[in-house]
Amino acid sequence: MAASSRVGDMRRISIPPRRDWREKANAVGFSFHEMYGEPYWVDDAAYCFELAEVEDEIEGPSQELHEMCLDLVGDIVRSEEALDRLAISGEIQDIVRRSWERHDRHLYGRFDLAYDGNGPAKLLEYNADTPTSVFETAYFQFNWLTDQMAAGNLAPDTDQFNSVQESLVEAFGQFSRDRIFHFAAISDSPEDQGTTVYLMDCAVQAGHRVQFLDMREIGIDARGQYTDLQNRVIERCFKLYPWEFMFQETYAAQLREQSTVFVEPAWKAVLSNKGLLPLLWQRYPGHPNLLPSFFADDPAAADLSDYVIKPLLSREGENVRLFRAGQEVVSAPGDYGAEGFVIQAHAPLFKSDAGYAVLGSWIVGDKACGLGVREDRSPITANLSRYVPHVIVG
Amino acid sequence: MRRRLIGSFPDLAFGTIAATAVVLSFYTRDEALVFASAQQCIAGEIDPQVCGAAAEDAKQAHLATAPRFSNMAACEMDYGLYKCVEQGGMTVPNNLDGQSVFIPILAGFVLSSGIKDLNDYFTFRRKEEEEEGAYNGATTIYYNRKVEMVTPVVEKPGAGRLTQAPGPTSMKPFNAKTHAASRGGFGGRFFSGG
Repeated sequence: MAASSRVGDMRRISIPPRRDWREKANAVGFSFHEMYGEPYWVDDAAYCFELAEVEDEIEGPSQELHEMCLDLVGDIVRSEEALDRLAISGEIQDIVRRSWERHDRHLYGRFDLAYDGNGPAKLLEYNADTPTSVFETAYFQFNWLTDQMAAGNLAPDTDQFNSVQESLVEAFGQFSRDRIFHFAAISDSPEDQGTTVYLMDCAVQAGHRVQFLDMREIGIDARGQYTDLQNRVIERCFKLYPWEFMFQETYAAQLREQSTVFVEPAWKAVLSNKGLLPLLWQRYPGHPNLLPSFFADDPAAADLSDYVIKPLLSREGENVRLFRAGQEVVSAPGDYGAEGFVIQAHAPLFKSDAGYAVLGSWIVGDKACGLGVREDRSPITANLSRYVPHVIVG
Repeated sequence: MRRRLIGSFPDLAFGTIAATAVVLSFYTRDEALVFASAQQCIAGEIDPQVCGAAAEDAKQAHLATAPRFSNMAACEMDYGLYKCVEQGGMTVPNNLDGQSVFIPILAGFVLSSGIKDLNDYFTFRRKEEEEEGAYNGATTIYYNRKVEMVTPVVEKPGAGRLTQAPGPTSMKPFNAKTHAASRGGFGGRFFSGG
């Protein structure tokens, strides 16, 4: 491999924290700034980028990756074999295919990218179905920036790659306002509930009438329509809950007729699946923003010595295993993997004394519009990772 | 000038993403947000200027999107006796032959609870104009013969607004009521987003 060359100036800096940041977080209901007894939001540090670096290495590639993904979905949904490889089988294939053919509208997604300033960003995965950390990115990180500029800790012309909220309001505006927009999540999780309420807020700002409910409160009526707790027909419903779970649950039977009500749409199950990675690599071999990726049974995978094994379906890094020179160096526990695995070449993450950083690059509607950085002590970014704001300087 | 990547300052309509926002909201109060008139809207403690503007927009939307019938009997069949009016051919848009049309009486209009003042209202309107090429007006509500609330379908294939005359069938139920035969068929696995 060619020696990597410095393409950017990504670095981590320390900065005085806002004295009242916890009060500010609590005042807007951001209770999950601590999770599992550990700090999650980091107020006293930031990742720094240059403008050209963000444009050329993050924004542009994210836009291109999203377009490559959309281009691939049509082929995947039309191929029984490809859907089988993604563990999308039987009747579910029809649901996914028809959702794509109907052009069911989608809202958002987050690319996780490995990038350390030495060479192009590499796609780790596409959280296209149930991405979180959107409030932290769109709202709290933005407020952090303006507070830090007002306090004189950052120059007045400091910038941030972040038009996520206005893009969300705009994207919600694309949905017709002729029905109630329901928002469903598992409300036991403060993070998921907060994320969902935040998105509901954006929908209200786009002129929608909204109603929150727990996923478990969804009912069905005699005609097989989904209903809310007030016994109204659910005509459109954002759900922060994975399609692959819904496909296996009791009410999957009604999806044949009713899948069109859900946002994200069913076709997003193709993009949030790690099987997307080898399919992208087959279609675009050698693309600078892709890592060599293979299904576990592909002999070509044997050529990799530094690689990561990921379950087809996994969230928060669960059941991911990292190998260097063929030896397992770290793994994460979890409940995933029954559907199969992919093997992806290892890409170095940005590393500092604080740990490893992964870039979350946001697509809202069809536009790359923002960045959020999470860091972790482990090279496998998991649910104990911390959120660190970013700035654009110079 | 150097390009900036930061967007406009983000506000929260609820002021919080805490669970209280869920309780504060909304759509148990939905029926209360269907107003028969500007007066009723003002009585509902909505900003009077917003009520006035929304009522006026509703009137325009009514003329543009109310279902049109070619005679009174057909209209009354769907909307009930004495629940329709004749409208001169020149008073409704997209009426190519210029003949009179028969449309149901407007029962009310809906206001988004996200709108606090006239400034909000016009921002919202402008956004809709930008996105859809035109402002589709307030959501207008009619009572059909079974006294169910119905509203015109204002679908927008691609961009652009409805340019065809609305037919008698271009209506959908508003907040259609039903009865859950069961619940709990989703959400069986604990999950926390990725």
